[in-house]
Amino acid sequence: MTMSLDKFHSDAERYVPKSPLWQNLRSTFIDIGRGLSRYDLWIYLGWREIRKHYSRSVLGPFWLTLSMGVLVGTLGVLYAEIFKMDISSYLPFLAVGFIMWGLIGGAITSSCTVFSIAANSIRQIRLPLSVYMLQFVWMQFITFAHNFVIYIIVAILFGIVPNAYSLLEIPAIFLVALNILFCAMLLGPLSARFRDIPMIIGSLVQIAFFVTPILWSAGQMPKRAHFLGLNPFYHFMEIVRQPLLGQVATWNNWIISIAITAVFGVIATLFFSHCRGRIAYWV
Amino acid sequence: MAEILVESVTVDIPIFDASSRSLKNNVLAAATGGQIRPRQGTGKISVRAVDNFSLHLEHGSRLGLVGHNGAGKSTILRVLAGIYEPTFGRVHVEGEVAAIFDIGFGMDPEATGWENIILRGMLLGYSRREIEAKLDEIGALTGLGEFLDMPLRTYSSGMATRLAFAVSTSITPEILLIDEGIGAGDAAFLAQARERMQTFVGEAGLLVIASHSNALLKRWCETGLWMEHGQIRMFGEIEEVIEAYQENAEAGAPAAA
Repeated sequence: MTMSLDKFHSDAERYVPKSPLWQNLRSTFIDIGRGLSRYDLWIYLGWREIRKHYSRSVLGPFWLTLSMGVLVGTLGVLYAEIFKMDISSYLPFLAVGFIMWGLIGGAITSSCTVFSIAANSIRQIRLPLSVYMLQFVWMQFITFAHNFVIYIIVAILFGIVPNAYSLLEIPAIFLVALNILFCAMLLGPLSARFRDIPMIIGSLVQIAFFVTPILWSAGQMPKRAHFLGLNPFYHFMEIVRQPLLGQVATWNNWIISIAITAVFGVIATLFFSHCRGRIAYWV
Repeated sequence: MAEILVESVTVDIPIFDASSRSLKNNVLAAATGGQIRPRQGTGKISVRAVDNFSLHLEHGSRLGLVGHNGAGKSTILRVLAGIYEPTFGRVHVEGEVAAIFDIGFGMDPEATGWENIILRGMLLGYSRREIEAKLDEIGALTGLGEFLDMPLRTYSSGMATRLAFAVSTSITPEILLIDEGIGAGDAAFLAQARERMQTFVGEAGLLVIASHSNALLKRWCETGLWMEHGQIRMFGEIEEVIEAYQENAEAGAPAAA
């Protein structure tokens, strides 16, 4: 054994003497690649986490489904009266809106804690940080799948039959999943560093819920309300909601959603690459 | 071939207080040009845990780290494990790394012994299939018998350690990093586990262990590294390093900073 330092490997695994940006991006992609290859770990951990949370209750995660189901049922009847709308079109609209917002809004809020709740593991074992993010995305979809039962019941009750447009739900959900991952890449490290971010995000998500057509529909807006198009959530809501109602979102909604995803993806990747090495110190 | 190369590594660990954790305060501090800052230099406090540290370990090395609490032993192990990225300097680690920093980590008190074996095994790097194939072997190794069907919270602490130990030592990494815990743990159990540990340690291509148990270090390591204030105070034959370290400790005179 020597202490000589003359020996250097050009294929150094972690520190490549190139520009910091390139080096950071490379580390990020290696991290994500390794995280993806450990899919059995995050799938297992995600299931466990959900199961653990509800281990002593009879209904398990279906408690959430039940509470959302009751909410959709009562609000559906109430608002159909207030807005003077046909319940058979309003209630399915509201149900799908709530289920999708449960996924989107819920994911944004909880993406803030993706690293801070894993602080102990991050400091104790060597795992790609993407494992925690992928586990997080996976858990959002487990909860979503439980809530999806409401849609099935509503679809049966109101005779919504899936058609060719319903297939568009698959790419739409995929886009949402990507954005949830980007959220975790951006808000996870940020909230680990600044502990008041989750509170700020929590309020913003609540506001977003009310300004996005979930309780009300875009069709009820006066013609001059162009600002609706400025709300990114509106476009995402349209592309995930319309296929489930057997309708189709506009090209505009799709193009804007894809563009947002692309821009957000670049920002999130750059940001995550920038602070990936610091996360272990921040949590 | 396992290899560790550390070149002039410095690690600064930031210390955050409630104020520097707050975005609002940081934004305000920036916006007011620092004039109405509640305190001077908020958020800029950090501890230099490892200072200009260089090391080259080749396949077959068995290194024992000694030093006072806070000398930087755990931090350098975390750097080697890839958990902490150094503030300055370079680290090159070749070979599959397993780090055992907390023997009880990743155990779920509500889950049964079997589930905990799977959980901890997967956290240590096994795939689901691999750990399930090894389940019986590890189960037998724990010697816990039917207790494995019971939740972990019903175990005595000795039994829990036994379980954690059996899983942790079932891996065969090229590079093994161990921090404390084991040496400080249950002495009687350690005597029992010695044989198992010997093979475990023997199978690793490269071992770095930090411990306050000099006897343990002498048994497992050839080389010693004495750390002080994040720097290398002494590097050499394990016996010599421990002797010098002990003399220093007995003299009760911590070396001048």
